[in-house]
Amino acid sequence: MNKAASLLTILLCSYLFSSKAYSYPHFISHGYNSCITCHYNPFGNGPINDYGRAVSGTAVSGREFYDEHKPEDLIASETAFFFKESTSKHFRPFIGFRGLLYKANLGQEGSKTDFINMQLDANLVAKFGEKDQWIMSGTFGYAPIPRALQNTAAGDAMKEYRTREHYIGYRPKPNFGIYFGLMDKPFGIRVVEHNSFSRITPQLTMDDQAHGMILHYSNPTFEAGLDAFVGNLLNKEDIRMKGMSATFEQTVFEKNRIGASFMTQKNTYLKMLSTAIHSRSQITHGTSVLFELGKVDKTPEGASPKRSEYYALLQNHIRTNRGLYFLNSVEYYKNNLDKNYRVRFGPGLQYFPFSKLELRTDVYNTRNFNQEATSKDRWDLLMQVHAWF
Amino acid sequence: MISKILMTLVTFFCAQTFASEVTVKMTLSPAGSFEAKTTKVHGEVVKAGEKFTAESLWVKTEELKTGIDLRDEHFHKHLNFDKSPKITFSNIEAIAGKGSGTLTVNGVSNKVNFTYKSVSDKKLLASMKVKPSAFKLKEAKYLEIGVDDEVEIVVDMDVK
Repeated sequence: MNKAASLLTILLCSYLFSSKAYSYPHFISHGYNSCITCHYNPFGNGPINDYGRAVSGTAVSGREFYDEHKPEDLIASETAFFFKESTSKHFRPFIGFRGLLYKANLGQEGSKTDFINMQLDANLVAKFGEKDQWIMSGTFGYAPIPRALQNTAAGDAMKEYRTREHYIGYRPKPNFGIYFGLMDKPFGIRVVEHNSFSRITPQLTMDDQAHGMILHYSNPTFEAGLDAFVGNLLNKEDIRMKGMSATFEQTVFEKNRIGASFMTQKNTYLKMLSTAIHSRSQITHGTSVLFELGKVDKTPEGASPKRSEYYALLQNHIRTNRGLYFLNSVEYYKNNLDKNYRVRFGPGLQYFPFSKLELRTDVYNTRNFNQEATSKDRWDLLMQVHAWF
Repeated sequence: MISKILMTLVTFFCAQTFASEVTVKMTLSPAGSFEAKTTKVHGEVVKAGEKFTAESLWVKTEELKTGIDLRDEHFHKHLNFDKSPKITFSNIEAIAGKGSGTLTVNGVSNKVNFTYKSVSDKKLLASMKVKPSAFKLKEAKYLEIGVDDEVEIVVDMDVK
């Protein structure tokens, strides 16, 4: 196996076996151009609010498993925590699980199958104020140590049971909010596939949250966020990434959003400057196209040379039936120190048979392009189950 | 499934060829939006010289679809479709890019001004903004997500 293929394997193992629940930005295809309509976190991921639960049951999920006469309002009410509408105005519990059946190197000698419990989280949201202006959210649960960090000092310092999001938010007006705590950094499109080059390259994967302050602003056609962060305070000082990020999106031609993002961050060992542009478009109801193009400059401390990395993501979702989405992703990755570049193609199926359950199957083909050497295509199969209560 | 994918693509590429279409665009608070649409538009627009007139254009409230069944139910109930099954735009006169007519929603009629442009000799695209509260419609809210009290109506209409 050549060096590039080894690196690729490490990258895939590191990030395919990750366990963070992000939001679903392709739901712009249902008219939801902003995460905050359905999520407590204005940039998505984490627990969904009452409205988001109802949307998940009545717009996103299928209804083949329900009696045909069952009212949609009843389906919506059963999307609440353990199927029962809350009697409390202030508290919303949430439990989430993700498991992954992963078969690497399909058709190759040494191909093996693993099942990984990617996530088992419990969350509690507390909201107060006449219009729920005050929000507190805390998530705690099991998350595996990323394989790339296993048997390393950084991995040994991590705990398998840990919090990856906790924050306090205040929204004095519906269109403006300020949040303090441990959160993901707003940058680019927060796609659910944290193994995508658009998440890996700027280091925005499952364990890259940081403590900080986020400002969020939105109006019907514009949305922006600014994050000043000091790294994850649960990590050792020297590896905490400190810096700031900013992102915005603007509606153009009614059903499209274009945006740009900027992020600068550094720790004792690495300085990073990331920039990206992106777009999200609704094609028809249930069908969308996402695109992101980014560049990340990485300057290591010491003698190692500065590296510029480039990535692109093109992803579309086609709703074939209510509850069933056909996905296609094409990704590109290149860095200036390497003659290789990588292209990954991933058709997949995403099925929500009923509220609280998502089944997903993806096949990834990864090809390494090199003018001086050839390497075999890599094929991987991922089957995922995602349940929430 | 392949046939459905093809149907989706065909629908998308044919979307611009509908004869007539009414789209009601709503903005959600704190964020987001949705549309209700129908291609079943009744009535005729007549051109005489530079002037466009229509005695009455109407749609069935229940035929406005948002793409989500539950939202359709709520939307139709909100518009009191059982008591007011039609949304009517009558006594329409338009010239030089501007016009007016009487819009009747929820049994309440109001004069509404609109702007339009000729997409072709046989097609007009008109747009107007209305306040649901002016038609005695209550504030629309579901699980803390509200609809703003300004709605845009876009009418894509064939001209006789």
